[in-house]
Amino acid sequence: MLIWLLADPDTGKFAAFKNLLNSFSAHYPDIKVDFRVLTRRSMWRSLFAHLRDSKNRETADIIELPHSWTAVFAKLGLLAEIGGVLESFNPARYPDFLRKGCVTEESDTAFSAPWWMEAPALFYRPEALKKAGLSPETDLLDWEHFLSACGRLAAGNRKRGFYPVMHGAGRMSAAHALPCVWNRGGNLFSEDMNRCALNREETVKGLEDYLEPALRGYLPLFGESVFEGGPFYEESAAMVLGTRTPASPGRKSSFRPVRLPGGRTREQVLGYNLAAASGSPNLKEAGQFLKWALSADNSRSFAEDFGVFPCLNAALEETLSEAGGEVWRGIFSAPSMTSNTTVYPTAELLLDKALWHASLRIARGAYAREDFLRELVIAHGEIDYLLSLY
Amino acid sequence: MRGMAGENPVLFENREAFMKGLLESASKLFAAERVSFYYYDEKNTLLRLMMRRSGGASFEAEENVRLSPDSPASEALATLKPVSFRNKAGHFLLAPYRIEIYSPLSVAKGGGAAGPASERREAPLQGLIKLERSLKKGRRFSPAEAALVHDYVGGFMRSYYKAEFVGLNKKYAKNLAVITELTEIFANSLRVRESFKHILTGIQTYFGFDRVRLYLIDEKGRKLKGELSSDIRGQIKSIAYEEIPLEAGAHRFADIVLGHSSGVFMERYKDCVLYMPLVVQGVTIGLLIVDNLLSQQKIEPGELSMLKSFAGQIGLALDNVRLFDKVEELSLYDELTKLPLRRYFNQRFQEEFYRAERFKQPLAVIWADIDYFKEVNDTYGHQIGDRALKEVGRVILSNLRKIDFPCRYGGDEILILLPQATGAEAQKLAERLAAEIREVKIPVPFSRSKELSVSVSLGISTFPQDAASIETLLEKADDALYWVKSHGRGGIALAGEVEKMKAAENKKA
Repeated sequence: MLIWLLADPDTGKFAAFKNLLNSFSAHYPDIKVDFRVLTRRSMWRSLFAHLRDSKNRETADIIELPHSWTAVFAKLGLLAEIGGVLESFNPARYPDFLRKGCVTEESDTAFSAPWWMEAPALFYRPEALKKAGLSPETDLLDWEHFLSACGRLAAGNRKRGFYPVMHGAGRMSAAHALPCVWNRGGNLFSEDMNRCALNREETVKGLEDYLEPALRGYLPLFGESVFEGGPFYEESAAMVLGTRTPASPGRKSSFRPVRLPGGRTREQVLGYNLAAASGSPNLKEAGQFLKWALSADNSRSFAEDFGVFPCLNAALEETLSEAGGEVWRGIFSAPSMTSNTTVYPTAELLLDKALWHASLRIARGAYAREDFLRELVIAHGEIDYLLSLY
Repeated sequence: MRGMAGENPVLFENREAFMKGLLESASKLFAAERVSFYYYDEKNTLLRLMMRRSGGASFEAEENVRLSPDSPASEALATLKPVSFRNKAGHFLLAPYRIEIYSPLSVAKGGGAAGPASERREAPLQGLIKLERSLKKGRRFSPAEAALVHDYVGGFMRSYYKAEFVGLNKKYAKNLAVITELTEIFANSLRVRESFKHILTGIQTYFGFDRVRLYLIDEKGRKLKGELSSDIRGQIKSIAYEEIPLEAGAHRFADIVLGHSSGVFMERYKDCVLYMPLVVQGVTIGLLIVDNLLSQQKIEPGELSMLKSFAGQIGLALDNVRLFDKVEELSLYDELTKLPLRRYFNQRFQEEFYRAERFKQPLAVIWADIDYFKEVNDTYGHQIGDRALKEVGRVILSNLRKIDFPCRYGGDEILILLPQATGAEAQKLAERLAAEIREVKIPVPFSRSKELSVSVSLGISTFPQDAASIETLLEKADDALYWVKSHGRGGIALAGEVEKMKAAENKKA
């Protein structure tokens, strides 16, 4: 049996997965399991390659996917009904907001099961903020405050390689830009999901907010530290935009989480699901693995191993109470997921492309607003066209 | 360790297997805790991580680094010599590689012959392999080790070059096969009823796009009409509901076909969509659109040029299919009366008869004959005779249900097949036809009356009452018609009643 996993900036995820796999193999020695790790882009390409030529292009028996990919791949016939593979699957055991990520637009039949989730937050080093005379309660309230805080941190620390803020995910992405868009009251789609909203002023402003720290030089893009064994957050950043508490191996993190700056009424949660491939010849074994991986104990310990959140109601509740801090509880009290529709993943890809080009231009010092806006217009047209087709 | 490079496996299944093999062996041979394979993206000046081996597993990861000019990686890439360094994270060794790749020129452009003149220089494959050891467990990479790693990576990359070359040749061979097979599909499309499907299936089998759509211009040249669409899994469905007026500005497809496209949106979608106007002898007959919009997968330049070279053949095949249909239609229908001809009728009659037998449903046949038709021809000429036939054909066609099937059986004889109709129902229709035909006035300018009226005689037979076979059913209808004609013409007779009347006449006699 083959499992395809999504790559993660944190190698801890694979260590956690290997632990899970070892315990599974100890209980099911007859089931041979192999796994492969693919970047999001590579996974997307491989799944489409399989759809194009299912005879010659392999696919996994079990696939890990972002929740928002469920609808499109279920619709294209790639995913098996989860109830048919895992009889014990009960959507009621998961929080409401996760259920939409398991089905298609047209029906309530589940094609994937929630596995783990993460939520973006801002992590800060209390002493760094204190040194600059900043308070997380008052100076990180909204994006403007946040930018001012970055300015003060930059002015107060001229050390080479120091940045007021770093990006935990490694790069600017559509998924992580959404909270800034929501801050401005924008979104990628209209309320009814029938129109693209990328050209709306609020959405554009939100995206520009997201780029602003990089444009002002507060946030490094494509930095070398990661190539040279880093990033060394503790020494080179006062804050980190990310989903996991930044920490060096074997050391207690000095970062504390705070909600992302902004006056949103909802907080972003990113969900990752497990699905079985409809064409798998090993659906029985796939069912056994899913049962194992999604059980309350295993899914919780897997999530804990690399600092993310489990999906089952009871496990999430326990983790939140243990995680201490009101921050996570606050985030999970108003959770909001990206849409799980046929066109959404492509829309995200198109926006990602625009952000990627913008990042490259910023890094080269050649960013021009008009170029970014033109790319958004192109992406907008393409998304609207896709909406008319699918 | 000197001979290690020679031990490298030469061929790998694919790039991924190659990278995995290199990382695994390098990690083992050089006691590196982490080994990473980077590709240098010259266009964006980024060093991009392709695969990493750590903790006994190889995996893809996202890492894009913009190098500063004074960094060890920049030095390694510029000098193509290994560079080792140490920092707080560990000991590092960077082994650069650079290989030139030549590929056979695109088949569509090159025409086929391989050899130095037909090779194209691809973008070089360059990057570096990074080996890491932790400060706690590992030791620094010595100059001797650096040289060994460099040799080893170099050997591996030469093997990779061979594999890549074999891969390109395989691709080239596949392209030739595609050309041969698709050409055959398009050529055979002439006489295949399902030709459009074959063409779309052929394209999807060899290229595999998210969607392929086929539009054809209607006969009057006013509309672009949807024909078929094929999805990523090769499932084909009709898009006949799509009709686009062929007017400038009405739709982007219309603009492309009319040659009014501004090129703006073509530019926008050029990576994922290909619009192919289908042109035959300078005339555009339709539009084929292939796209990878949902997957956002770039259509490779090789695929683009190959598809473009097929556009002419596809257009020709589609045009042939349409011409063939037209010819077939002409040979099945009588041009004068627009009624199907006898050959077509016989085929349908058999089908309907079997259906009636199988489902125990009634079936009626009307045999009609224009009264005194020979005299009309002789008196007024064939032109007026033809006109009379045309009018009779028009009246018949306008009075039938969709399931009824008429035919010009020969001369002025017309047969009408009425599935699921009883004798009484057939008689009703016959009466209506006779009445309407009597009302028809054919202008005859050179005659005294200036116009001509015609009448028809009609004989009816029904299954199962009158006959149990096709031949007998026709015979009975013909008998009934003969009865009418021999009893004054202009009337209607049912075979069953004719039998009775004949018996009565015989009795009298």
